[in-house]
Amino acid sequence: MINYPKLYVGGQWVEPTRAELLEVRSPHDQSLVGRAAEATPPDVDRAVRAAREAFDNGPWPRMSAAERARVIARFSELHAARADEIADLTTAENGSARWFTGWTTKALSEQTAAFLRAADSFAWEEDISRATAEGTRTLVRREPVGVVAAVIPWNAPHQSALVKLVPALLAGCTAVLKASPETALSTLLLGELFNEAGLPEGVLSILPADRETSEYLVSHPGVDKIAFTGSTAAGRRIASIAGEQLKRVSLELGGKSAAIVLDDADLDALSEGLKFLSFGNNAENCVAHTRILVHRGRYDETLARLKGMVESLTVGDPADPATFIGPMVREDQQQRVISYIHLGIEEGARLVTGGPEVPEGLAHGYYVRPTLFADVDNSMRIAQEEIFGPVLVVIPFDTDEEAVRIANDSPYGLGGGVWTSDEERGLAIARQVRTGTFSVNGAPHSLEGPFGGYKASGIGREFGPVGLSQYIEYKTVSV
Amino acid sequence: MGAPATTAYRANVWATGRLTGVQWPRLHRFHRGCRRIVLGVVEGARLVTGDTRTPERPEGGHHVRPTLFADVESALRIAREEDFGPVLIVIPFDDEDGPVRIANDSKYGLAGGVSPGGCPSTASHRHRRRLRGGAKSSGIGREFGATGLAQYIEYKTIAAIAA
Repeated sequence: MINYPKLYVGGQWVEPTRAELLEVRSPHDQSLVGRAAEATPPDVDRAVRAAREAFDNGPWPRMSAAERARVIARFSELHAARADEIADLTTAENGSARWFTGWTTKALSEQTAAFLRAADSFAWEEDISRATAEGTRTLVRREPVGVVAAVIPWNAPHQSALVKLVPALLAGCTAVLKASPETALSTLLLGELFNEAGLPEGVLSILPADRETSEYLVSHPGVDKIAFTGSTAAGRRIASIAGEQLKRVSLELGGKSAAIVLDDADLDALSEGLKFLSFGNNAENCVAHTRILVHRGRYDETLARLKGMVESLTVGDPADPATFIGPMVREDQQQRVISYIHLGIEEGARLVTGGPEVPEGLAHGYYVRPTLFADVDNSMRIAQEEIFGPVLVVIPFDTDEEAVRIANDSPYGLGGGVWTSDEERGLAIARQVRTGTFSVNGAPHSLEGPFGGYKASGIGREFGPVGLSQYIEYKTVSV
Repeated sequence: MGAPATTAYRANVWATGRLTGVQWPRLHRFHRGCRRIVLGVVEGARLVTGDTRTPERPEGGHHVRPTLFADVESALRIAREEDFGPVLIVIPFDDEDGPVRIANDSKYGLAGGVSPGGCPSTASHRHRRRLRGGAKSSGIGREFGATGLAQYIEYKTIAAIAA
């Protein structure tokens, strides 16, 4: 068992105000993974006070960007050295299959390396005098935005924590990271690594907390910027608080991303690609490709291939390296997915494979069947709403224009892709779909490229230089 | 925040005649700019030039006399609230950190400047500048130039590979 009975407040491990620890239990069999401290508002006050003091008077925002980068680079080395342990713990906590947590944890050093490159070439202070009248100079400075409240979900805790903390810290901000109770242990572990890397006192706090305490944090007058990843419903609430208080805010929210299968698609590449793009991380993934738009000319053939792929997915103990899909994170999440499968049947979609029953032999955990619906109309709720589980809908179309129209007929705008043997035709579609990322033939995007959403999928972008710029304020100085 | 103009204080100001010619209950009839000037007087700032009364001009119009207050503390409302009219306040400072501390002690964060002529240690102030803190109410985003253009775009990252 791995226990974190203390909170990480400004670099110190401190007793939580509330004595009762929260229990982290495995969604596979409800066994106890460990116990963790849980923050309440007085702990938030302490953490924000530490961050405020470290920002207003401490060394971190005043040292050079290169000095801060050295601490972050050291952190990244320490993190990589414990990648297997972190992947094991995350899988035990949230049920994400071990192949996925192993792969993403290892990819984090590349993600951080991209931020370090961005910081190295970032124009922290830039002279733009050539554009001004003779005899005057104009400098544009990029200064840290202040105290950041970073609020992250349980589905990929280190990925979503570091895509916020790394650019925030590189910019010179101080931060309070709010962890989900489901992944409290692995998130608190980050405190050990930041201390070992030499992050100065006060700069970072990590607080597992429930929703009420989270709202207390984002509403706190000592916080300058909120960076949130989570549901669109929670994002709307946070944006309204930020609007009232004129706080800076970036939001990574939900999605219902479309994969468009053109009549010249390579179906081998498609089914192998969608295995990862649609079902990676148990499909508890905001950017999962969950609406599959298929050209009528190859509809039956494509359906047969997708059916075979979905039926080949191994469901079971997430710690087993042979498992592709683990359990849903909580019982309510399992029930939510099952209720959407019932809804699809009621709405008249054709159930091709899967269904609402719990998979055989897995009643001890929060398991669901990977499910494929065909003949779906894009206006159905199963095509419009984010399910956050392994349920795909297949929607037919006749022309490229119709495919683009259906893809854009969504409240969300996070990701998507197109499958075609004609790269230019694919790029033409990519340029018309209103989403923050888009892939042609499942190509992975560079970690330097911005990631985020149009419409109800969020505000702002993460990753690389654009992600770094979410944590700065511009200041124009004329002399 | 600041020193509220309490009823007792107003009465005292009235009694000492510093608001000569002004009927307090009728202040709402003043142009907003004039009301701000009256507020400065009520708060105890020293009126160096300007007037609390609307200038009488034969052609009419909504005129306010350009006004300068001295001996102002940054806690006063005239130092904290936006006037949006020709009213300046002068705040003295002594120590090296004073000007930056006073400048940053504001809910706003839009602009400012330093004047080298009257301040021999300006350069050091620039280098000792403290980063601003607190949620600032001057706005979100930037206008002008390339950064202003970037306010009207959405980033889209496209990755492609030949099939």
